[in-house]
Amino acid sequence: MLQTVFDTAVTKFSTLLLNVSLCCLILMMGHVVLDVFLKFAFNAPLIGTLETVSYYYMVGAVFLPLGAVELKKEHVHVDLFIQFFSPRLRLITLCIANLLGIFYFGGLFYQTLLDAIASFGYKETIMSNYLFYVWPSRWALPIGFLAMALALILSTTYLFNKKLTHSPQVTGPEDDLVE
Amino acid sequence: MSSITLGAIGVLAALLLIALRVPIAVALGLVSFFGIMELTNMRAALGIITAVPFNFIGNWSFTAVPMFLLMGYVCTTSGMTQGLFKAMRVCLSRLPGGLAIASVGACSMFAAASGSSVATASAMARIAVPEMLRHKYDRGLATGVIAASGTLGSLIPPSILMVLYGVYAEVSIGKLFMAGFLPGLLSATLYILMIVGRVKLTPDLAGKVEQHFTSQEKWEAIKEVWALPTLIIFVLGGIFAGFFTPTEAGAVGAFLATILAVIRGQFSRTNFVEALTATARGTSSIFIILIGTIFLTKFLALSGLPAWLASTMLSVSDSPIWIIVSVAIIYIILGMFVDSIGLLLLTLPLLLPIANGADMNLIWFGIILIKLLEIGLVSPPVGLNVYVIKGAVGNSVPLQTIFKGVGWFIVMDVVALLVIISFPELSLYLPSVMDI
Repeated sequence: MLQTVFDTAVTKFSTLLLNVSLCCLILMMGHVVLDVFLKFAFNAPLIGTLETVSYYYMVGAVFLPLGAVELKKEHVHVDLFIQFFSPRLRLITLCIANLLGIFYFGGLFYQTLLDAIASFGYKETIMSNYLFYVWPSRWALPIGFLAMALALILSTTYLFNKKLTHSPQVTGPEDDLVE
Repeated sequence: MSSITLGAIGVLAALLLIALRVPIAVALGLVSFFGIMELTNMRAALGIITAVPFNFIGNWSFTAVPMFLLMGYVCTTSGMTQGLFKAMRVCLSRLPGGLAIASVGACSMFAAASGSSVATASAMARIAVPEMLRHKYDRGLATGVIAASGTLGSLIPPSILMVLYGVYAEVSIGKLFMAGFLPGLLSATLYILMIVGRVKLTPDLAGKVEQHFTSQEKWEAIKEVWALPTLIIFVLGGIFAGFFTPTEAGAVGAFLATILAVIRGQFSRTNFVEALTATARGTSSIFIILIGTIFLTKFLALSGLPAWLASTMLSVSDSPIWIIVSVAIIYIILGMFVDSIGLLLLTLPLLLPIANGADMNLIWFGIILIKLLEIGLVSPPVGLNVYVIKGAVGNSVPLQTIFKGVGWFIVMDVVALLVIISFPELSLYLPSVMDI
């Protein structure tokens, strides 16, 4: 029961973030194309394109989908050797890999959260021809890393229950672990 | 323990973790964090987390990566790439080994749009291999040509590998795009010449294709695929003519691909969301590794390992050949289990200082590196592309047969590589005459 609630919450959270990142991609495309067009047609580029695209859309597109990518097991890893392990050793290896991931992304979440709070405190800007605030986009990092850590925790709970990760599309060494 | 030893242990630990299925991003990041902490202190290690991910990703040049990915995914999800093989086949049916040559052409164009060797091999294996097998083509040739031709996309611009290399090595992405053009063309030409030569000597390799197409049929097939060449010509033409920068070209390409899909009546909300989702996933998984790479670069720089390695290697010889052979060995070994983007990001922190130390032109070095990466993807015993083909064709073709078929293409790749190394002008001429 608890697991189902956790599963639903993590999946919904990751999907929401993924959808925001899709908006970032559409905005990135539209903003750059408009800038190129205005530059070409009227020699009047949109001011702030470079900063907005780099510090908002790009940051959103990279960090927000992390959890959704993990839920589909699409982070790049190497399956070559683990397939020769016995199911038990494979389970242990997968659990250790997940725990290391939770530790790494948990650490990144903690540190970038502190950075985002500090950045908000002094209203961080970047060097530019005008005042350009970047503190809001700093929050994409802890949010994305949190989603990633939660997705890894979810995947680990399934491993501990010796079940396949909840995504039906997943194929890989976990498949043999289904009871 | 000396800092260089610590650096070496760090690299080995990262490789061990990767082999134990720890995601590459996590392996690189964790090892680097503890390495930096050991070499300096906890505060410095945390400081790098504060500085690197946000400031490094907030980089204008990198925006080309998601946009070129989006361009490719819009092309594939809207069906723009579907008729490629058919069109090539109809046009080249009279040539010896026409279907295999058509595969080289279709793979090059598909890869130019998608920017991914593995995606190209996977898609084309499902379309072209069954067709060649149906016409009694040699199974090794039919599968080998797809595995190898998929790799052409990394050299033929626009290429995501080049964007990543260009930003990391701080060289012009536009110049890299132009530098890859002739070597890519050379590789494709060598593949085609080899196929024609082999089929002339052993006609049985290409089965019996008795199909001849009328001009009407040819025109119909070309009409089906006009959008893709138009898109590629517009994007590359725009860069070379200076209408937009290589970074802007990604967004322009993605936008144009969407417009073309609308014009052709192939646009749907579902397809577009699918393309966006695939782009977001691809972008996230590439850049999270890149962040690990930057952590590793900082750690290794502190350890002094790259400088030591560079001076040790250069003390043996500062000939580019020696360096390239060493890189080739590393890539053939690591290319067994890591794909080209992962491999590039994993090795750049160690390889660039060596190339810099030997005073090699970094554009030329980048082209060689990318060619070597792609050879690694099809080299036995575990070339990743070959396994992708095997997955697509199932039990109908044994693995050894695919590797045997790929072998001929690897020979051509080695010839192309030797030409690229012997004649740096092949890579450097176009960038030198065009001002980007």
